[in-house]
Amino acid sequence: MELFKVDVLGRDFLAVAQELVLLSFALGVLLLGVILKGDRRRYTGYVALFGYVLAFLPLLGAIGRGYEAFSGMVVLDPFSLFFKVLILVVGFLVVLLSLDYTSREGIAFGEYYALVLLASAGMMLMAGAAHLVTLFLGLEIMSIAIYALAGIMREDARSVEAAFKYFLLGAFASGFLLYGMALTYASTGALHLREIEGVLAQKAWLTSFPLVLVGLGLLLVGFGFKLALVPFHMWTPDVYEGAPTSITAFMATGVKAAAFAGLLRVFFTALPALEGHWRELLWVLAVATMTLGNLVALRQEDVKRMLAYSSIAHAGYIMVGFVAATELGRAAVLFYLFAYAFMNIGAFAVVALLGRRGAPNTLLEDYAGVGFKHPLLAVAMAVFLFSLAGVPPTAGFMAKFYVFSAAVKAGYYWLAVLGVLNSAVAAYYYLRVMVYMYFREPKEGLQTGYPSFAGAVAILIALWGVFQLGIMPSDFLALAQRSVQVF
Amino acid sequence: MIPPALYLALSAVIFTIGVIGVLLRRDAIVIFMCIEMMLSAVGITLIAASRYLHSMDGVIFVFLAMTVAAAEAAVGLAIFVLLHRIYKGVKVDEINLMKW
Amino acid sequence: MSLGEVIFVVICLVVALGALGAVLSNSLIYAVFFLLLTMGGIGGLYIYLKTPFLAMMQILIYLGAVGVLLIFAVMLAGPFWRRPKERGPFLKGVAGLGVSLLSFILFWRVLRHHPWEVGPQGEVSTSRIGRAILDRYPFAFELISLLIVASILGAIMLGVLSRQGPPKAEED
Repeated sequence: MELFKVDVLGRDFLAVAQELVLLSFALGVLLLGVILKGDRRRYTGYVALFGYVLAFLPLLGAIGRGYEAFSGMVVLDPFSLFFKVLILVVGFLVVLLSLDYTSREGIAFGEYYALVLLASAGMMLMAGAAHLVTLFLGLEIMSIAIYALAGIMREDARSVEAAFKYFLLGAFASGFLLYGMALTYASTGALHLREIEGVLAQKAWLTSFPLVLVGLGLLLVGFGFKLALVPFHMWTPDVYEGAPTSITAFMATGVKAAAFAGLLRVFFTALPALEGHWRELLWVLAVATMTLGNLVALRQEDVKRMLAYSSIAHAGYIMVGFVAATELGRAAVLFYLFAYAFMNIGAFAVVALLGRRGAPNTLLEDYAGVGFKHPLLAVAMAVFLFSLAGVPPTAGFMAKFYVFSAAVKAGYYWLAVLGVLNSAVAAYYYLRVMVYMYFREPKEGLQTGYPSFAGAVAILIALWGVFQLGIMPSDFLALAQRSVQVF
Repeated sequence: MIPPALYLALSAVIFTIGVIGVLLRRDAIVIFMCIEMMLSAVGITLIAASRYLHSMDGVIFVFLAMTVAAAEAAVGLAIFVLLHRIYKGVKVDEINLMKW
Repeated sequence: MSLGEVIFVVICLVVALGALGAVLSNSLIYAVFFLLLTMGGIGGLYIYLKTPFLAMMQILIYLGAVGVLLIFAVMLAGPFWRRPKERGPFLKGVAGLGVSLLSFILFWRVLRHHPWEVGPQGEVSTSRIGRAILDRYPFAFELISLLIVASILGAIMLGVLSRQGPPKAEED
C-alpha cells in the first residue's frame, strides 16, 4: 500500500505550481473584492492581472522536465506547459480587456476576476491531465465558472439566457463525457490514460469491441459539445452573442484550447489503438464543421454572432490538423490554437471597445464609417479580420498553411481542398465587415467607442502576436513540434 | 449471481431515457432533471464495472461525479432563479433553445 | 428465484419506470417525484453492488440535496406561469420506450458474453474507499473542493447579489 505518496513542496507541487498561483490569486481577489468599496472594486482586476504574470514564474523550473505527479493524476511535460502558457496568455489578455469593459458594464467586482482565475486553473488542469478523473474535474471547474460568468450581467436578459443555454448544454455534454469515460473504464479497467493505452495495446481484440467503440463515440460527443463541432454547435451563436464580450473572447479561445488539449490527450495518449475508427469520424465532423460554420456566417448581421459562427468554422480547420494525426498535424493544431487566440481576442477586444453601456453596438450597420471615426481601432480590426480570413503575412495564414499541408502530407487531399475552398468562402464575410467600416456612411447619432487604455494594450499585444506568428513562425512551430513529441 | 451485463444494460437504459427527455421536453427544469438522471445512470456502470474488475477507481469516480452533479445543480438553480425573474417562468421554447 | 433476486428485479423495474415517468409526466411535481424514485432505486442497486457507502451518498446527495433544490425550483416557478407547449404524449412515449428497449437489448446482447476476468469482489467498505481516496486520489479530492468553491461562488454571485438590484441607475 503506497499510502501518502505525495511529497510536500517537491516535484509534485511543481507540476501544479501555476494552477496554485492562479488559485491563490483567485482567493485573494475575492477577499479584496469584499474589502474594497464601490468603484474601487475594479482594482481587483489589476491584482488578477498580476496573478497571471506571476503564474509564468514556475515555468523557469518546469521547462524541459517530464514526469507524472500526485500518483499519476497530473503530468508535467512540454505539451502541458505549452497549453498552460497559452491559457495564461489568453487569461492575461482577457483580464486586460475586461478592466475597463467591466467598469463600463457595472460588473467590475471581485467575483468576476476570481471566476476567470478559477476557470483558467480548470483549463490548465485539463491540459495537464494524466487521468480521466483529473480531466473531468478540470473540465467541470472550468465549465461551472464559465456558466456563472456568462450570466454575470444579471439585469441583461440576453446574458442570463446565454448562461442558461450554456449551462443546460454544458451539463448535457458532461453527461456524455462521463458516460464515455465510464464505458472506457468498464471495458479496459483503467482510468489512467497510459494504462488505458497499455490495456488496449495488450488486448487487440478490445479495439473492435462494441463497448469500447460506444465509449469512444460518447467521448467524442462530449468533446464535440465543448468544441462546438457541427452537429453539437447549436448553442454557440446564442451563447457567444449574449455573454459579456470579454467572456465571449474567453470562451472562444480559452475553453476551445482547453477542450482541444483534453481531446489530444485522450485520443493520442489513451486511444491511439482506435485511430482507424476516430479518424474517419473526425474527417466527417471537420468537413461539416467548417462548411456549415462558414455558410451560416455569411448571412449574419451581428458581428458577435458572425464571430461565433467563424469560431465554429475555425474549430473545423483545427480538426483538419487533428485528422492528419501526424506529428506535423498535431503541431499545427497547437500552432493554430495560439494564432487563433491572438486574432480572436483581438477582434473581440475591438468589438468590446466599440460598444457603450446599454448599447453594445454589435450590428454590422453600427460598424459603418468606423474607419473614419476610429481609424486606429479600424486598422486593428482589419488586421484581425485579415488574419481570421487567412491572408499573409498574418498568423492566421501560417496556421492554415501548416494545418492544410499536414493534411496533404498525410494523404488527405480532399480534406485540404475542402478546407481551402472554405477559407475562400470565409473571406467574404470578413471582408464585408471591412467594407462597412471603410465604404459606408456612419449612421446618424450613433455613439460608438469607449476610451480604454488597457483595452488598447490588449489589442497591441494581440497585434504583435498576429504578426510575430505570421512573419516568423518557424521557431514557434518548432516549439509546438517539441511539445507534441510526448505522444 | 446477477450478471454484470444486467447492470450495464440498465444503466444504458436510464441514460438513454435521460437523453430522450433532454431532446423531447421543453421545460427547463425537466430538462435539468433528465441531465441529473443521466449523470446518476453513469454511476451504475462505474460501480458495476469497478466491482467486477476488482478495482476501486470506479467507486471513487462515482463519489466525485456525485459531488459534481450537486455542484452543477447549485449553479443551475441560481441561473433558473435569475431567468425566472426576467421571464417570469422558465420555458425553453420561448427563448429558442434546441431547435432540432 | 430467491427473495434477493425478486427484490432486485423489483428495484430494476422501479428505476426504469421511474425514469420513464419523469420524462413522460406532464406534471412538474410528479416528474420530480418520479426522478427521486429512480435516484432512490439506484441507491438500492448500489446496496446490491455491495457499496453501502455510495448508496448512502446517493440518497443523501440526490434525494437530499438535488431533490430539495429541484422541488425548490419547481415551487419557485409557481403554479401560475404558462408551461411551454410540450410535444405529444404519443411521440414521447414511443420514443422513450422504443429507444430504451433498443439500448437495453443492444447492451445485453453485446455484454452477455463479455469475459469479465474475475468474479465480483467482496463488500466495498467505507474504510476501503477512504484508503483508496488517500492512496491514489487525494489530488482529485482537493479538486472537488475547488469545484465546490467555484459553484458556490457562481451561485452566490448570480442568486444572492441579484437582489440588490442594478449596481448603477440606468443611463441613457
